[in-house]
Amino acid sequence: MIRDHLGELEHRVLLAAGRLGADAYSVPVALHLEERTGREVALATVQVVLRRLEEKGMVTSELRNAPPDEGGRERRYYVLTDEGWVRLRETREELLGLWRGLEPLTEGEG
Amino acid sequence: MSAPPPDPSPPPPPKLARRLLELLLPGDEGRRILDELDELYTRRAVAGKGGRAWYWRQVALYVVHLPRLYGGGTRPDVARLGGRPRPLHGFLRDVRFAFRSMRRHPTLAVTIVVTLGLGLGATLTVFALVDGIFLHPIPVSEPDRVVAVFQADEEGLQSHPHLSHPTLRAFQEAEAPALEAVEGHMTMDVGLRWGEVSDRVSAGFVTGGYFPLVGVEAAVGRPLVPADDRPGASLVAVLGHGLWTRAFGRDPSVVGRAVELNGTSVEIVGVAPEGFRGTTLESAPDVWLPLHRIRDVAAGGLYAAPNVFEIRAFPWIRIVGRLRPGATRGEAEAQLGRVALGLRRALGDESAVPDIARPVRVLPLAGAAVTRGREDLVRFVALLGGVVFLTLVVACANTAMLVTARTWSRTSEIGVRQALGAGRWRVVRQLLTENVVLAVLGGALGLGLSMMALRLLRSFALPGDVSLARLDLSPDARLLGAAVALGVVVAVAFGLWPAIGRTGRDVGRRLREGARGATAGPERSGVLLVTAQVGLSLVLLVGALLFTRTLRSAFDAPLGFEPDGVAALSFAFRGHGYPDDEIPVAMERILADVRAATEVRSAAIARHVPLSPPGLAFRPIPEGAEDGVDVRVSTNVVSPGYFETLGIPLVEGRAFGPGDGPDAEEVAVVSRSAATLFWPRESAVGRTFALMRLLGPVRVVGVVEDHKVHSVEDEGTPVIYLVAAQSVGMGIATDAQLLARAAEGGEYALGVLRRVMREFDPTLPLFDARLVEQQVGRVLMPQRFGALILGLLSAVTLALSAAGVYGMVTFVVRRRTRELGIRAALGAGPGRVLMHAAARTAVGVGAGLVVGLVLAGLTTRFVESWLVGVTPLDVTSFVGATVVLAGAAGLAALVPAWRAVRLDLRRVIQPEG
Repeated sequence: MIRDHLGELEHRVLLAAGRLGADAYSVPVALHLEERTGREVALATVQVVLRRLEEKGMVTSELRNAPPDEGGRERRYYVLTDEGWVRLRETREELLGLWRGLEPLTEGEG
Repeated sequence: MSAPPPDPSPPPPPKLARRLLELLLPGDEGRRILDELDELYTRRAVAGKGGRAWYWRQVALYVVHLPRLYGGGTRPDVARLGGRPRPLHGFLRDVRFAFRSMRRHPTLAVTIVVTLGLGLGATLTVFALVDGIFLHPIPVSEPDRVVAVFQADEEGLQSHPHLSHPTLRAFQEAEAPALEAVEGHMTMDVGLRWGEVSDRVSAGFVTGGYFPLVGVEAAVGRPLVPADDRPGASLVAVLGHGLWTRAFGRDPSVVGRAVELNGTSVEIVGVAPEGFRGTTLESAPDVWLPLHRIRDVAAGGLYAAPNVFEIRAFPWIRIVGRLRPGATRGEAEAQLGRVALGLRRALGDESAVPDIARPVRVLPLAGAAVTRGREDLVRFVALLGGVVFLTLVVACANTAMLVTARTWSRTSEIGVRQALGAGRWRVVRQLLTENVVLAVLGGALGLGLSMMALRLLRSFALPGDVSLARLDLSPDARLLGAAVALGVVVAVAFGLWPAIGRTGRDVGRRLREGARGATAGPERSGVLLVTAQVGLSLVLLVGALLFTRTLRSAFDAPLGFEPDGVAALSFAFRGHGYPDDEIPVAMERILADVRAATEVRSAAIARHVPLSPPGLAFRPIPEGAEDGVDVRVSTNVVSPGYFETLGIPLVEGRAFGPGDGPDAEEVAVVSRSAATLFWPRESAVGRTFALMRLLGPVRVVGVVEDHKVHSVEDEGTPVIYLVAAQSVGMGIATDAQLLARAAEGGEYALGVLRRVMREFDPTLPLFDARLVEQQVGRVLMPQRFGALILGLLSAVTLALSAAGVYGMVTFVVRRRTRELGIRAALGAGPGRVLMHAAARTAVGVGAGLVVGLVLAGLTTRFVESWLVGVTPLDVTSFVGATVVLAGAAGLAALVPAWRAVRLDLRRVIQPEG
């Protein structure tokens, strides 16, 4: 089977969703990305990427009601599949492999 | 910049934006997305980030991401939607597709947008002009019930707008049930003084019921009311909004204060609303006063005469009326006519009532707003309308051709889409949406161009002295709607037929045709369109050249005087503290000071400078004659030194001198043609004439050469010159031009004039400082305007025609690529290939040139009255236009045709795929 390549944005959204665990839906994912990277990601973009990840089989979604103190309305929560975790690990390895040996050059910057 | 503080209870998201999203995001999924957006908005707002602008940005992003949100691909994820896909989604998808398609073939798309934009922009500009001048020039309440009362002249044609005060009273008091109100108004220049401010302004004198009649409310304070117009009332005035802004900085406390008008104290009781400038287009009062108090403000002259309200022989008031609901202008005209007839009968002697001797006319205010030179103005605007109509036709023809070509060139793409299952009407809808997008973009461009053009045109004046700056020419919502509607109609009309044609049932044939490019239909209609475009462009180009040559000829024509090195400055004595008997002395002092300056060769004061609009005119009675002469003779009032300053040669006798004072015999100088008019067989010097009956004789002491008096087309206009010191009452007290000629040039002379006037009396307002040589440019305003408009429009149509030819040949080359390649392979030289590529188009261009020449020959006589030194069938203009157009078309055809020559043969003849 030809593996789907994980784009940069997909990678980041997947990381955020993975960290948030069972509470991952579009709003905390967007806020988490902004908090960690310092750059705002539009909610629409996050929602589109999550949908795409679901089509690729890296996450699944289910409809659940929010906690009562958060309004109690229906939300679509996402959770990583095994496939999703595997791709995440592989992508990390790929990136680390590309980075190997370059660390001294990037030290002292930023 | 520090971050905004957190807001514990942020405002709700913008309602309109949220509503828009509700429309875009249907079903349960849409509701969930909206909830999440609201949550994010709230959380950001609490943290001091986000806000309404942020929310709107998110809305825009949702529009962009819409297809992807709902599953992506061509089939929306129906389960996710929770319902049917909204038509809005389909439309938005079509719009996105349209933009993508335009990015792929930008040239054609840009050409269509620019073509439509130019045509629509020209049309919208003229629409705004016609609207501003004829349809809605005057902001009054219920304008279709407001009318102006005139009298027709002997031929029943050109109307006279002024009537006498007794006639106004008669109309007001009479039985005229068709009119519920009749009021009078007129304007006069006065001197204004308020604190440090000293200026010359236009004052509108109106009867008590004028403001209620026009239905205009004051912006500040109150308008004039009937009680202000009664004897014994305190003298009050209403400021115009423009003057209030300019001179008083919109200070509301000016209401209740007193200003000085012509030395008389007047209390300001209100400010007129912005945009209200009276009820004619030729004058725009800066301040309004009660008509019956005019004697208190007029500083001498006829308006200060004790019997100004009783003289029938002096028509000085314009009359407006308001029709009763349901009454017609015809009824009002008949009723007022009966009143006039009754007056004539009662007074017995017709010559005693000149102002009601002729029929009364009642005209709608809007159309009657311009009186001087009205026919000229109507013709000019009609000409403009005709020209712009031509431009629009050319633009539409071009658009039609380009849109058709664009659709045809995508035949194979359309075939593929249909083969993949897209329904026919789906594809037609897609094509039409693309055309609508192009049309909307073209309309937007047209609107922008129109706004720029209107701003540029504000500095012009049209025939009839209609200064465009006085009109309200800002584009409004109607203009915008018209632009978009017109563009959409054009695009859909021209896009529908080829769209339907190209999406026929036989998909297989389309695919094959697309590959081979084999059909002939659009070529024939394309050639016809090229013919039409070229023909119409030629007509416009000929017009532009005629006007340009007119300007050249007018500027080169001998004027009869020497304007170079002469400067002029306007000012007024009356109303600024100079009683009439002191004016001659003041003039002498000023002139002495000016002449004393170094480098000043000569100086003078005059009522009129050459090439000014006509002023006073009389039918003088020469010595020995029974009656006045047949023509009205222009009369100027000048000081000694006038002829020398302007370089008008003396032919006989002498010019005015210091001896021609107020107590000496009354003398005059006449122009050569006036001398011939009065005494055809003998010398004029030494003879006398009377300006009119009841005035004493004036002796002619000199004759000067003829010169251009009012316009560049003048030939032998008779003029009488009176001495300023002896004729202070003839207008020079209220409107004087100080002139000086300097060896150093006009700018230097102007500086001298300013300095001398400032030293003489710093409180005298000075205005209209200019070089006399600029008068020629002023007087040629219609021709300059015409040359500019026609020049612009013919450049536009030239570009459109060239684009049309280019597009046509490109289209032909693309479609007949295989055929041309085969010809080249079989040995045809580049010349023959070129010929085959461009032959049909060349025929079209040639036919267009012939048609255009004939059309131009037939239509140029309509502009004959504006041409100077050039005939309507001027050969140079016709030949020049033909050469330019043929050259442009040739170049436009050469570029794509050359590509045909350089085709890579092997690629071309190989079978597809």
